[in-house]
Amino acid sequence: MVVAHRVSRTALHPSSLIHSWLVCLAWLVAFATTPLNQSIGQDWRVRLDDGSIAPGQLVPSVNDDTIAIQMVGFKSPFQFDASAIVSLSRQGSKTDAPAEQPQSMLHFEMADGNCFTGKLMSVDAEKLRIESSVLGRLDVDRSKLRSISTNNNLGKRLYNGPSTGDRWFAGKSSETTSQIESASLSALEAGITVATNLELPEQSHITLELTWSGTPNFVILLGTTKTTFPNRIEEAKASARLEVWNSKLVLVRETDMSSEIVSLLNLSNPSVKQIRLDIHLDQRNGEIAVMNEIGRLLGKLKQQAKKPQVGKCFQISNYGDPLSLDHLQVRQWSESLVRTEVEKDTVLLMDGKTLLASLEGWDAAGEKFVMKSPNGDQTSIMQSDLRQILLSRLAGVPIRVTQNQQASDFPFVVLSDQSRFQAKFLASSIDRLRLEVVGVPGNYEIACSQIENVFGTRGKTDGDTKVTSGDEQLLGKVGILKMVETELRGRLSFGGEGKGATALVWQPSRSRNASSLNENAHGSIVFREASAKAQEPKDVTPVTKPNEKKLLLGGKKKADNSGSGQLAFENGDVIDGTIVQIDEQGVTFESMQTTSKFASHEQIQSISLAPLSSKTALSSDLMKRLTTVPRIQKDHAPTHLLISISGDYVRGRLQSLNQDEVEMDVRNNTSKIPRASISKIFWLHHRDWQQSEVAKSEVTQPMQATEEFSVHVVRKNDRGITFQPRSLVAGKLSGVSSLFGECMVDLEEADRIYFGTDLSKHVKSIRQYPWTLSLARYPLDFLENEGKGQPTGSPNDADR
Amino acid sequence: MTPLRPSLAPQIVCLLLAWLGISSMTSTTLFAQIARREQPGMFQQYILRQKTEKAFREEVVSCSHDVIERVKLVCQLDPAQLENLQLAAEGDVVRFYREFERIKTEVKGITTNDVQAWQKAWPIISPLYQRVQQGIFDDSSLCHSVLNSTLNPDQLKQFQTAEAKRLDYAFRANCKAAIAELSREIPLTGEQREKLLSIMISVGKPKKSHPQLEGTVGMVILGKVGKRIEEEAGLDKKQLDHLVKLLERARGGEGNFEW
Repeated sequence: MVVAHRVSRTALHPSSLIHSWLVCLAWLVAFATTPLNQSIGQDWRVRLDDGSIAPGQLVPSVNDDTIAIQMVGFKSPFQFDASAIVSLSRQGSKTDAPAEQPQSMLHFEMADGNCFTGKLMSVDAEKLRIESSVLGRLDVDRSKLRSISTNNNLGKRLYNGPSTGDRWFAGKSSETTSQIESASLSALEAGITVATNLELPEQSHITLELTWSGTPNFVILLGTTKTTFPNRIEEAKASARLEVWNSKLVLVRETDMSSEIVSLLNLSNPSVKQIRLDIHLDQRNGEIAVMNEIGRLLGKLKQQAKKPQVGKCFQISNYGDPLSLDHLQVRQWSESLVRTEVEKDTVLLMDGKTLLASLEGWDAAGEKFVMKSPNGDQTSIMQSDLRQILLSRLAGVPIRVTQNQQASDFPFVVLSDQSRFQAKFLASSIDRLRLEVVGVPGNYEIACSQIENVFGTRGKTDGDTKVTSGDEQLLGKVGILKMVETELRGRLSFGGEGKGATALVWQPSRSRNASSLNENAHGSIVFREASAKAQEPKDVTPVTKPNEKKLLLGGKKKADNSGSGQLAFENGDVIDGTIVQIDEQGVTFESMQTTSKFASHEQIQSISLAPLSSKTALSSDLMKRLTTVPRIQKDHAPTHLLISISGDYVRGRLQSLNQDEVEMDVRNNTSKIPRASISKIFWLHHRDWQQSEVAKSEVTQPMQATEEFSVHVVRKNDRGITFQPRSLVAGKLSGVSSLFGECMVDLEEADRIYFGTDLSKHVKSIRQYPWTLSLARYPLDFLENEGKGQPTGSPNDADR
Repeated sequence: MTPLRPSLAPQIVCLLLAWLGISSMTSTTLFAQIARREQPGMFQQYILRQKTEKAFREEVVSCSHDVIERVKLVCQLDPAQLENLQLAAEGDVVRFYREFERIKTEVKGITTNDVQAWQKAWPIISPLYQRVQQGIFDDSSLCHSVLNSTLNPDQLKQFQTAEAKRLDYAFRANCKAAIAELSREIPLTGEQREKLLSIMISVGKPKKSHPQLEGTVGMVILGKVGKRIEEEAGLDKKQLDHLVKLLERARGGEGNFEW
């Protein structure tokens, strides 16, 4: 059964041609500019501990301990293990999206890293009762309370990104600087510097989230004055620097007088691939404090400059393995002190005064804190007069308390009201997330839109270094599914989810469920990245153009030696088979791999009949000669190229081929060549002087027949086959090809799978066929003396 | 036919074998080998000072240890101070090598024989060259600037005094070496030597100099104080004439120092 999907070339009326052009143009514009999955949205970007990264939408999960993400291109959401989440960030707006918090809101920071925002309802010796606008009523353990801050202490958000529309500049030096898309910040290569003007105020609170692969080696300049780059990064002036020195993250402040340094973190642990830092930068007073994701102080510097300068820009230079700037947020910071450990309970007032007093109670009606001074006196402080209450750490209360061992794996959730807490994600049957907050009794339901950020804790605490890729749990062949901005490690699975879903089902390594790819998804699955090189035939001498060599010789295979041949088709497919005959209709063949036995000339690209007897290479000069046509032959150009087993070649028009011989028209003479002496036959379909016509006909193609969702499986030796997938059983992907009928591919043999609805163009672009005929150049004599207008071709133009 | 002398036979065999060996090599290989010998990379010549990268790195690391040892000799450092200085020295090495790697990639393959490429690459390589000449742990280094914030005021004073003393000794030694050099050409009396030394020391050591040129500072000072020597050192006319000729040679080196 052969169904050739040929393009109809019937003559079109000029008006219908224009109409079709316009429709196609509109279709192309719409297709090119519309995101793949507009309805799903790409508000979030998830990064997993196996290196996967993808945009998507956070949705309620159906299992406990999972975070569900609806990813672009997939039918249903994936249920990722919560412990696998490295970061889940909202691709936020540039400045403050959520409404400013009411003045009555307080921020409660706990010893276990949690931080809640809400109204204080009551305080007693055991607990604090907080009314959160997002979570509802919370009863927290008072012994874990470390500070209470009023809204006066939390500055206005000035930047939240990176997001579309930011003006980031990138370059290797000042001469190569250019503006870049913020999406590029997720893969900064070595040697690249990026910068932006964040309009940093004198006192800023910067939240920074970085991820890397391999070994980190970067320099971050905070409060630098320019977005242009000096050749030596040390020459750039900055209020503070974060530098990696031999896997140590160091905070540096350099002034004209002296410098101060402090080591913040050791990043040598290979399982640590991410940092999240909270930086308080006071450029006027030369003070910088850096805290980790749970508010623990990592290092602090104070170095006053003679002439303080306020730099408004931010710059990152990467010198190591790929680095990603996942999140950057800037807030105005008006606090005069960075919270650190205090020996005695301390109260900071709005007027700048400091008192030593402990928290005794709360007068909810009067909105007053009842405080007790060291000499036993009780005083009341209005909430509006308060900036912060810092509580000394109680003896015996560890910095980080978890209810059980498992809790250390729970991710931290950051809410839009600035609450931050470690939580267990619970299954939810409603359209809201259900969370169990560590250290707080009860479960809480919140809308996905109220979450700002989720970040994992794995590999960040001492002794917790094991990060699993999840591959050991997978049964099939592991690969990486790649789509626009998506890289998901996993395997192909069996399934299919009804209308709009394809038979390609992807099971990510760190997800508890699989999901079908949508019909509008396009991308690839890579099982072996470098297989093309590894499988390159070894008996071929190198030539100048590797592509030509590979395509010309098609990879020498065992099949050749066994007497059978190989057929390469125009759509990039390659199958093993025996050529029965060739006539004016097309090629008749026999193949174990297809039910089809015939292909028209238009569908065939090349056939291999026998192996070459010696190593053969085609130089670029020879290639040029073989693809150049004398102008006199423009309308009667050769259609085939034969290469003998000894490496000789002949160009002409193939008439027929049978079991014994090949009949070929060479310069109007019919030649008979024994079949046994032929190694390969190439079809010379492509002519560069006809390309504009072909382009026109290709543009009309979508009007006539929309391509169905197909896969192009590239097997070992770079051989591909295209078909519409129907099922995956026992590691074998089967489907139907318009060319071959029923097809089946063992995934063990597959190196890459390309999928999508517009595959033929894509496959053609990755499999460039070198045999495109060109017309000979005009003779120099003609160009110099008569060179105006196009000659129609004269015998004198001939073979050059 | 005269038989070959037995002593010559092995030499001829060796020559033949050598010829065979050379002729079996393709001309390209030969040229490549010659080229490799004749064209040292810019990096090796100017930055590594003809050393291997490994040897150069060892030298840099050893220098960083020396700097800290110099501080330790004078001040009693507590563990935190020592750690801070070590971290700063590590930072200097990392920063230097960051620059080193960047420039190495940029000038890769450029040899001094390719004049055009060399001229184009020199502005890129020259700052690093200057840095190596000045010393990685000089006054502009992180290690040096961290000292001010790491050492307490007493320690800092101690260290600064010791450093000044060290530099004074070095300066005095350079002056003495210059006088010794001078007396090889012009015999001087002990008294003349003493007077010359006091004149030179009164000029004072330069504020800025290239560490590599510090040895020439004595001769440069002699050139600078020519008039005072005539008046104060008590040299006779013959000695003075000879001295003027000698100092002509030292002229021009003044630009390398800043007083």
